[in-house]
Amino acid sequence: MTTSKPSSTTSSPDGAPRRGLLDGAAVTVRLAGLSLLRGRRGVGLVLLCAAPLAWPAMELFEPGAGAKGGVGFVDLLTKSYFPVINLIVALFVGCGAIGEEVDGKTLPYLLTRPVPRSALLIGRWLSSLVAAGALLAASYVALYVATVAPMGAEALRIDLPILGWALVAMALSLVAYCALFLLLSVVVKWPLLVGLALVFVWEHFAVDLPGSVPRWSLLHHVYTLLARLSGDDGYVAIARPYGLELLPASDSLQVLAWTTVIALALALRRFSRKSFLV
Amino acid sequence: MSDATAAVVEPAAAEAPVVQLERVSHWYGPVIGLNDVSLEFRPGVTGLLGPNGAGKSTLMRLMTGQMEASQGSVRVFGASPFARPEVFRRLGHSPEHEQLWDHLSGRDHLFALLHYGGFAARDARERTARTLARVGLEAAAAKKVGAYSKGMRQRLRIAQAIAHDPELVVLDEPLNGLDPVGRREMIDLVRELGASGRSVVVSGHVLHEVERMTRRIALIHRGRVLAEGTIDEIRRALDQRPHHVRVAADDPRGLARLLLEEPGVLSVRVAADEALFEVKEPGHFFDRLARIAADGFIAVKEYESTDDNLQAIFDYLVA
Repeated sequence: MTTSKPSSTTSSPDGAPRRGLLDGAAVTVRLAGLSLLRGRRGVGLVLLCAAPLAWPAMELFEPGAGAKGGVGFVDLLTKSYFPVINLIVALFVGCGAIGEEVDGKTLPYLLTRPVPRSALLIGRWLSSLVAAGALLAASYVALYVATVAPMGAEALRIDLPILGWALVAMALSLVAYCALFLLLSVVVKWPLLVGLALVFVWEHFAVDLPGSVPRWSLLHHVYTLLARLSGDDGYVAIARPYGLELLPASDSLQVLAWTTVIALALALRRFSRKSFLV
Repeated sequence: MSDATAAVVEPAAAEAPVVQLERVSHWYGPVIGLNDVSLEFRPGVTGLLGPNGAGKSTLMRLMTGQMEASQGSVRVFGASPFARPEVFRRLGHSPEHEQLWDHLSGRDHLFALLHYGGFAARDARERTARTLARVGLEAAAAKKVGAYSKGMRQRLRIAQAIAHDPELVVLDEPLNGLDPVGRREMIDLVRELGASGRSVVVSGHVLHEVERMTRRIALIHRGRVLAEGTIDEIRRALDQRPHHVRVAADDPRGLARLLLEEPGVLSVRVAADEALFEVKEPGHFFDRLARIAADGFIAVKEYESTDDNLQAIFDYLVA
């Protein structure tokens, strides 16, 4: 937890402090700030997010060896960010949302305050979205500038929608992934291990399997949204493995939304009934 | 009893209990943490005593709504405290472990918890300053908690438990890590909280320190309550069991001979100038001893019951 600019708070008629679901969630987000990016986890994730910048940098030393332009930007997004980096950032930040208070044994201070547990959970989920979103958005912008700027200022303006849609898809994917990993952190004993298995054994490979198997992975629906929203051929090719029919954007959006709702509902149910031994 | 302890405000038996535990049991997998515990805590200070692993922290976690009992009923202010925000408005808890948010300053730490708990920013700031001064952390308020000593961390933990003026304060081993001066200050603070009408439940295993905070105790061992009440009440309840009395006299051997004839005197150990008696009916024994002293057969210099302090009671009950 960290501190930031405080808000006004409401009091009950008798003057005693009280927070409801929305108020409690909002103050949790404000107080948490970007604290999920603190310490070794933060340093590791920043380095991970910065790693793809090496490709456009290679262009400076050896033209043709690295990535360049809008095509290079999309290529790097589909090879590194969407299938790997986004998921790892969401995994560590999502699992850490509640997990860092459990591991740090600071959860009792939060659980014994007049704030509903549901507000704490929702607030920490929103905090994880803010932290992961800020880190990834900064990385996308840096990567966009690094790959497209060498093509000239006009290219930066023309290719801007590619960056915009990538940011939208990233944000939508984080909503679902952070909820899923938050659920893991309150349900299983080793959430990071289970999460890594989910990321690398299922999400990473399912999108390339034949038949309708890819539709059981969230990543497939993220690519479908990207393909539908941007119309970029690179995304369309990934969203249609083995010629699989491209789903409507609304279908993929619903999958992400329902995944989020179900994961949060299960996490809330578990968290509100769980006895903590910290 | 020391002079300091004499001033402790005892919980009034007539007042309604703030915490009620009825036949509470709790298991950690196959291990039992609490076994059929029934207890009540009223306004004033109550000491929860027991060795490490006795079940004190489990009891406190149940009282502070962090865990739900496997069996039985826990009620705080008449309601189940588990995940119940309205109970937490009136409850302050200082956990046993010393973990805090090390990256924050003491001031920010306390402010964050008060603001999170519902206090408007201005009110939270005022309370933060007031409480840090009360626990002696005013000078270190801007320092990062990670750089705090063990004693300072303990003070901050207690500060966050009392900053919102709760009616019930639950302090798990509040004297751990404090130096002698800090311990004395903390004991005074606990007594002051009890004297102000709050209910304070304080755990510990340094018996004489708990005795300085309160005469009302609950003894816990292996998940069970061995005894509950004032130290004197517990001692009286134990009168049917052997009681140890040390008598210093000019002829301890002759005194032992005379008293061994009395019913209820179970054994005696004689040293150079004193005798240690094991008696079953202390009242009768003291009457007889007084008569012997009055008759002047043997000069009795002094006598004391070695079972009246907390350590003796505890040793006796867990033996």
